[in-house]
Amino acid sequence: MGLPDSNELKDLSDQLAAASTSLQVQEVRAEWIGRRGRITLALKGLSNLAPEERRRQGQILNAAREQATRLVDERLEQLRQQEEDVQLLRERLDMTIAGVEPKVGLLHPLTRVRRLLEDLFLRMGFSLAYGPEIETTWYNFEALNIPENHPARDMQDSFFVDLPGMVLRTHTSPVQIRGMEAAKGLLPVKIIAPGRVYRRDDDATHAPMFHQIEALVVDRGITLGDLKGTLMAMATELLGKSIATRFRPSYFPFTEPSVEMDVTCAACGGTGCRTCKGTGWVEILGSGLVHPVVLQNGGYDPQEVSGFAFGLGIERLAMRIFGLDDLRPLYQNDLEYLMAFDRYTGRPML
Amino acid sequence: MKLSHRWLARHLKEVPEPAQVASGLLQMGIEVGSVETWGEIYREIELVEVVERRPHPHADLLSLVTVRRALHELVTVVTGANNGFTGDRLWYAPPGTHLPDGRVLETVTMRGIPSPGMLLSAAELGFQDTTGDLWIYHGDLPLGSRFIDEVGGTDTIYELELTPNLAVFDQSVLGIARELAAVLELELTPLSAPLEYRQDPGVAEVKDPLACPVYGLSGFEVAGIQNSPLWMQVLLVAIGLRVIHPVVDVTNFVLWDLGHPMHAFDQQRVVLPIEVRKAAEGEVMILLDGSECQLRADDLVIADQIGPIALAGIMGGQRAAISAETRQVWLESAYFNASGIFLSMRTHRLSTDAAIHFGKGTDPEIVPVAAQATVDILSDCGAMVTKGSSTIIGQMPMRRRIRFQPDRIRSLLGVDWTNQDISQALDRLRFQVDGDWISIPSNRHDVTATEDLCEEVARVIGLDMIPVTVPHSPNVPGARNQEVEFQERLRDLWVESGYCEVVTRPFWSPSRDVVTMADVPDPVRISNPLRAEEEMLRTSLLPHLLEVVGYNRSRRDQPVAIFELAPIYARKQDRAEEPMQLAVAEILDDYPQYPKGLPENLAIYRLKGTLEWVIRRLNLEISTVTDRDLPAFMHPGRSATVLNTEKRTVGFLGELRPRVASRYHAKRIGVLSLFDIHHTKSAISGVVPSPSRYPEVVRDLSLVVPEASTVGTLNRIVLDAHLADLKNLRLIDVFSGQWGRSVTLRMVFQSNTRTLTDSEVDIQMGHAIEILRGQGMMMRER
Ligand SMILES: [Zn+2]
Repeated sequence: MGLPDSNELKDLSDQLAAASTSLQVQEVRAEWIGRRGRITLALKGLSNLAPEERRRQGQILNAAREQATRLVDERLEQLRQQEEDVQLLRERLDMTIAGVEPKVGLLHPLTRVRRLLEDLFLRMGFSLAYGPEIETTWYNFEALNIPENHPARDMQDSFFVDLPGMVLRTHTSPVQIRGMEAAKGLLPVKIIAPGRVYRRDDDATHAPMFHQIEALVVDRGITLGDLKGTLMAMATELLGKSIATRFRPSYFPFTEPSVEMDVTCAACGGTGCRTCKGTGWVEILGSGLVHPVVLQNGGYDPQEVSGFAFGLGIERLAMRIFGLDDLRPLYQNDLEYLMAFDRYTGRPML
Repeated sequence: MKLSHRWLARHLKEVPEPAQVASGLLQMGIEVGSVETWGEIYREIELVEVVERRPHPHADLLSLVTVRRALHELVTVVTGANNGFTGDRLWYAPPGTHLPDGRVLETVTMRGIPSPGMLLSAAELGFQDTTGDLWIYHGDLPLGSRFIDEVGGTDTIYELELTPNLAVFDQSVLGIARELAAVLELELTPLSAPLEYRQDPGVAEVKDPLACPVYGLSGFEVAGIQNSPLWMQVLLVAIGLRVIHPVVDVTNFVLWDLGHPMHAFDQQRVVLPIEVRKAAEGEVMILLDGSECQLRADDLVIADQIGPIALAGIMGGQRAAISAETRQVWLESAYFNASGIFLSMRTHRLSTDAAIHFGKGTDPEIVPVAAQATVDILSDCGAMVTKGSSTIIGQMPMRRRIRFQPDRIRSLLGVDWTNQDISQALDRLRFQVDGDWISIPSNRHDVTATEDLCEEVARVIGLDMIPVTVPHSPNVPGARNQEVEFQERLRDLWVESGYCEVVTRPFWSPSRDVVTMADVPDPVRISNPLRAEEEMLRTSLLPHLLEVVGYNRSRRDQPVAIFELAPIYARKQDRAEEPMQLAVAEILDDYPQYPKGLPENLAIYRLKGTLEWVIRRLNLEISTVTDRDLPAFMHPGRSATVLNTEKRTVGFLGELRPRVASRYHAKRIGVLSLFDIHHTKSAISGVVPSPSRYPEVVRDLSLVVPEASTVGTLNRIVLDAHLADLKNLRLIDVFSGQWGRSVTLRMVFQSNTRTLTDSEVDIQMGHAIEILRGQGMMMRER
């Protein structure tokens, strides 16, 4: 047999293309490069040739054999793939069926909002402080400049308990006094106090038990400007850079001056709607410079130091973040409702 | 408080637009809750003239009155009124008109004759009426004029929300006008001159000058008026007050105009001298509203020689009250001690307008001014006001002064405003700076210190003008304490394990007990609960969780796996304690929607496994045992007690008795209650072993064991054998057959130093088997 030319390899390609099973490919393979294959035999026949000629033809034949091997392997792989496809398609699943989700729990939305706030204030250098829920009237009222018969005691209807001189605390503000006492005169005092508080109210926007976060800073030279700056930084962190803030004079017995902060209404974006009574603003927190009487009751000299404090309703913030108009379901614990809080809020940490 | 825009004109020389009023008030800290237009309904009501009056053909008490309307045909309406004759001008409401009482007029047929619309009396228009007759108009408006023109056009009514500090001095049109004048730099109209009291003897005595520092009483004879002037009626009606009698209306008007309540007594019914004194214990009086008031010794009363005629500053008594026949009155204008009035108001639950004003503190200097204003208005409305005797008792209190400390104001606000900026701002609110001192207006009982002045300066100049800064104190990282970190981690672990956190309210009542749990001996009770079933604070957390289970099960047939970490409340003598508890509850029933759930009888191991994982994860120093007494509501065969390191019971885990579970609409409920949980501070160091490089040898050991023995015992025996290379021991199979109870343990052997040979493992296995045989546990024959 002579040297295989390109026409002959074309024959091989055609044969391979015609083979429709791997068995047929094996037959073609035997015919060409098997032990008695055409190229194999031609290579064997080279031993009769002169060395020079043998080398020349040997190179050609070896190249041809390599190419043939490659063509055969390619075709084999192609067919294997096709055969496997047929096999795998028999295992076909309906991939439009919803996946089986892992069984997971979820933190209560109020816990998540509380932690969001705590983390924010921790980053701002506040430490966490706590006080009891069953509080003395001294810490809850008198120490905060709310004496007996003060009209401000009308503002928050309290739950009393059968322990003399005790109430369920009506706000987290008593922790201002406790926090200052714990600091024992050291500066700065920089705390936040999250916790449950109680008022005798029960409707869509008032719960008899709810959660607040109180913040207190006491140091030399604290100003109302510092309060504004801190609150604005907080509002931006919590509600986004597009939010606008507004400050209004207000009244709390334990701060003087007292200031309320409004932020852009989330429902209308500031154009005015029912939620914001047409003003474009919603109140988010009450604050002010710590009243001198309160500083004194905490063991600090109001002539030496000043401070600011603010209190924030966690429910109110949760209502805003999650767009709720009724806070009662938050305590009903219908799991379907609680699990609906699994949607992404735009905040990876919430 | 309701504010009439029009009323402001009595005190402001120029009244700004409503939008400016609202923004000015906002800057001063007064929220405008709502803004409404008053008087729209009067646009439809039209001035007409009677051209004919005839009797109704079918009814003796009715008449047919034909009136002329401008630009309209004649109209004949049926009326029951006795007046309205030819030539009289009347107010006519055509069909479709809305009346102040809410009626909408239609054409009605009265005794066979249609009557389109109605001719109106003053009462029907919402104004004062002594007769019930039609309102005959005597003014100069042309025919066809609308009633709205007669009342001076529409008005804007603001609903203001006053914080308690502002309510001290802002609960009047004058107060609001002063705030607006300060913030918008407007000019105020001067007030009336004060009344000149004559100091007549024998008229009045003040027995308690502390409770009543200033008491003015002046006598008048009022004659010649029937009704209050319309302009005043309009202002009172616009803010929602009823108009009653001129003397009453005028005192009401002055109350809201100047913020100063006054009271009038009928001279005929008073036996002089009038005394201002504390009530005698047990004294009783009938108040104006007809109620009987049991007076107490700390109530201040106005009394004559017979007895009390008013509960001072709160409400008059019936005996000396003004009536339609009253001609001679004693007009009382006084300054009372605010806290005394506040106390009496609270004690007797009488939150009258007067009490609300006096109880917050009024302006002593306005006492004679308000008295004169009353006289002036009465004269204005054409009444003959004859001055009689009068007296004023007590000294006008000195204006209080505090130090003027502009540096301190600047440093508290964080501003660089000049002394002049600051004193001008204060001056606009009538504070007078005099060198180092500042004198406080007589009605500003709320101001006692520089901090209060800070607020005033900030209100007038504007909070927006205060620069935004942050505290300069060096920033130290904030910290949660370890106990709290631990609690947060505990919550996370249960969430990661598939349990949903719930938040329940801590109110409870034993009437809600299905299972009775009291983890503390003495509960804390609420003296004023909202509901009977919330009469105390919980003594255990688990019952709340079980209610949540029941609530969810009653709504839908779905798995429930929940937990809460929250305090319970205990009474310790006169103190309270609030220890934290963890409670977990989970439905163990098999659900059709489970793709392939645990078999029901193994589901409790999921809860137990989670606890074991949590124990490991947080290094909780607790363990479970099965040989202790359990709460009666627990499944006796499927529960365990949780012990701490001192072997004290700190909780329990297991299934509720199915009978109890059925009360919560489930066959099986797994629960965990931990009532003593603490952050274990002792961390174990080097607890994570390095992985071995040598292969594991795995042997399964199948044993037939006595029916009563447990896997726990079995494990213990094997572990106590201290097999040198046993790395892991795990239960892989357990079942009961004819031959008894069979258990298969998978034992994993591995060395850290060499590859174990089969014979080495065989020796260790043999040792274990021998010990087990000694305990009656045999290798199972294959
Ligand atoms: Zn809005």
